[in-house]
Amino acid sequence: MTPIAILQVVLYFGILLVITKPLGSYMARVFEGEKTFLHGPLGWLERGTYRVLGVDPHRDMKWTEYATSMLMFSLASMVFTYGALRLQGILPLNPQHFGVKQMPADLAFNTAASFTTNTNWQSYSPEVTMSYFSNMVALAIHNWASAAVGIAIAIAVIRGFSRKSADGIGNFWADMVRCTLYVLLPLSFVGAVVFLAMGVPQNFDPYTVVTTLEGGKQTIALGPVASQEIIKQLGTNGGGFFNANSAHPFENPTPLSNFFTLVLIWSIPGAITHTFGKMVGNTKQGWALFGAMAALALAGMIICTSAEQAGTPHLAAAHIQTAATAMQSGGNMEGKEVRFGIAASSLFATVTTGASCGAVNAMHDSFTPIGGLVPLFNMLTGEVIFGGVGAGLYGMLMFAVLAVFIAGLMVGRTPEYLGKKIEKFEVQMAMLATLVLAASVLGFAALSSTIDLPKTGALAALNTWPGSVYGGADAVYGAATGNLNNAGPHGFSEIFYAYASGTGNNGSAFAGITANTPWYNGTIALAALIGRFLMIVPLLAMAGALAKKVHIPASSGTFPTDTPTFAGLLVGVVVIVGALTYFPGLALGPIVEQFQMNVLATH
Amino acid sequence: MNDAALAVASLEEHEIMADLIFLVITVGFFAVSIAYTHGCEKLRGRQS
Repeated sequence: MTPIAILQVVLYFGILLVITKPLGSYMARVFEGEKTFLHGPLGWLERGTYRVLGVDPHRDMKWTEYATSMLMFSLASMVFTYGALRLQGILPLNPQHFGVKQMPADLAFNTAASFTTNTNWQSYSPEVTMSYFSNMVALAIHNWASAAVGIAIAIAVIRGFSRKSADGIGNFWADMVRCTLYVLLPLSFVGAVVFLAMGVPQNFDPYTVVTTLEGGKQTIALGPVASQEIIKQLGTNGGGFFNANSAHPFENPTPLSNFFTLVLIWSIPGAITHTFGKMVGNTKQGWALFGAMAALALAGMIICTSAEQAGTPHLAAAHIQTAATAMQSGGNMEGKEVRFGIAASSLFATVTTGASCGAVNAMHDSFTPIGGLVPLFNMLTGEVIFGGVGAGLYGMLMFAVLAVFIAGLMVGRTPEYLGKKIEKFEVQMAMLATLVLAASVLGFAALSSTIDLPKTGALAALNTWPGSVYGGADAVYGAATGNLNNAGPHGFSEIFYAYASGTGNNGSAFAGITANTPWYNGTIALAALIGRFLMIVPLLAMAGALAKKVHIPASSGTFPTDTPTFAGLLVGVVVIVGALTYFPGLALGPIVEQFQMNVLATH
Repeated sequence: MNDAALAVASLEEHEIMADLIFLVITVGFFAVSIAYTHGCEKLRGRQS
C-alpha cells in the first residue's frame, strides 16, 4: 500500500470513531423515546404523523405483529413503486417523455423489489429510463423507507437482548417515524447542502445538448441529483442517479466528495453499534462489535488495495509502469477513475460492499482477481462489515449468537449473551437466517450457470435484452451464460457476484453481464426479496424469544462478550462460516482466475 | 379492426398479463413470508 492509501484509511477510521459515539448515543435516545434537541422543531410532526396514521407509539408489539407490520408496509410500498414506474409516461416531471417502453414489466418488478429491499440493483440505465418523478417519488421513497426499515429492525432485535421478561419488542410504526424524522431527515438535509456546495447539481431542467470541441452533439443529463445522492449514501442504498453511479462527476465531483461519501456510508452502521451498547447498558458490548467489524474491514482494505496496487503480470510483461510515482497511480488502473486512482477506488469498493450500499466509483469487473474477491467476500459474509443501515448490526448479532453457542460448546456450558440464555430456538433461528442467504446465493448462481433457455419461440423472450428500445437490435441470449462478457472463471464470478449482490441487498454490479432481461430481472429480484425478508423474520423471532427471557446475572463461568477475545472469536465465526459456505464458489471464480492469470503470464 | 389495431391490442393484453403475473408473484412472496412468520412462532411455541 502507498503512503497515501495508508493515510486515507487511518483518516477514515479516525473520523468514523469520532462520529460513532455522539451519533450512536443520539440514536439510542431517539429510539428509547427520550427528548432530543430536535424534538422542539420536529416533535409536532411526529405527533401529527401518529394522529394521521392512528398509531399509539407507546403500544408494544409482539414480534409477530412487528414482522407482519413490516411485511405489509413493504408489500404496499413495493406495489406502489411498481405502479408508478409502469405509469411514468402519464405522470408529471417527465421532460424526456419516458414511458412504459423504457420500463417493461420485468424491469419494473426488478426495480421495485430492489429498492424496497435496500438493494438498489439497477438493471436499467437511469438517464435513458427514469423520469424525474420516478426518481424522486417511486425510487426515493424507498431510499428513505428501506433505510428506516433496516434501522427499525435492528432496534427491535436490540430490544430482544435489552428487555427482561417482556412480551413486546417495540412499535414498528413509531420506530419508522422516529428514524425518518430524527435521524435520516436532519442528516440528509445537511448532507445535501454539503453536496450542493461541492458541485453536485439539483434542478428539474431538461437534459442539455452541447456542442463538443470536435463539433459533435452531446446530451448532458441533469436533474435533482444532490437530494438523491445524500440519501443514497447515508441510507446505504446505492442506486445512482446516473448509470456510472459515483464515478460520474455530477454524483461525485472531487476526491473530497468521494471521501465525504465514504464517511456517509459507514456513519450510521458504525454509530448503531454504540446505540446497541447504550441500549443494553454496556457500551463495551457495542465497541466489541465495532472492533470485529473494523478488523474485517481493515483486512479487506489491505488485501484489495495491495492487489490493485500490485497490478497484473500482464502489465509488467508489457513493460507498463506498475509502481506508483508522483505523477501516476501505477498498479491496475483499468476501470478506475483517474480522479480517484487506486487508493480511493479500492477503499470505496471495500466500504460499499461491506456496507451493502452498492454505490460504485470504479468497475469491480476490472479489478484483479484477488482485488475483486474482496468485494465479493464482503457481500458473502451477509453484509456484516458495518453492513447496511441496521442490517449490518442485526446480521452481526446473528453471528454473535452463533459465536457464543460455539464458545459454549467448547467449554461445555449453556451459552449466554448479554445475560440471556441462548437455547435451541435462538440457534435454530440464527442458522435459518444464515442458510436462507446461502441457499439463495448458491441456488440462483448454480441455476444461471447451467440453465439453457430456448432461443426461438415464445420462451426466447425470457432471456432477451430489449435493445430496440435504445435504438439498437434486440439480443436473444438463450443460455443464461450467454449474457456474460467473459467466459471461464471470470464469467462465473460475474454470475456469482450478481446473486451475492442481490441476496446481500448490496446492489453493486460486478458488471460484465447484461442483466436487463426477464430471466435476470426476475431471479435477482427474488434473490433480493429472499435475502431481505426471509432473513429478517427469523431474527425478529429470535428477538421475540429473547425478550421474554429473564436476565441471568454474570457468574465466574460467563464468557465475557465485551472483550477483544470475543471480538476475535466473532471475526473467526464470520470468516469460517463465510469460507466454508462459499469457498467452492470463490474457488471456481476469483481463486482459479488468479492462478490462471499467473500461469498465463509465465507462458 | 385492422392489423395495426390488432397488434396494439395484443401488446396491451400482453402488458396487462405481465403486470398481473408480477403482481401475483409479489403478493405471493409476501403471503409466504407471513406464513413463514407464523411458522417460526409455532416452532417457538412448541419449544417453550
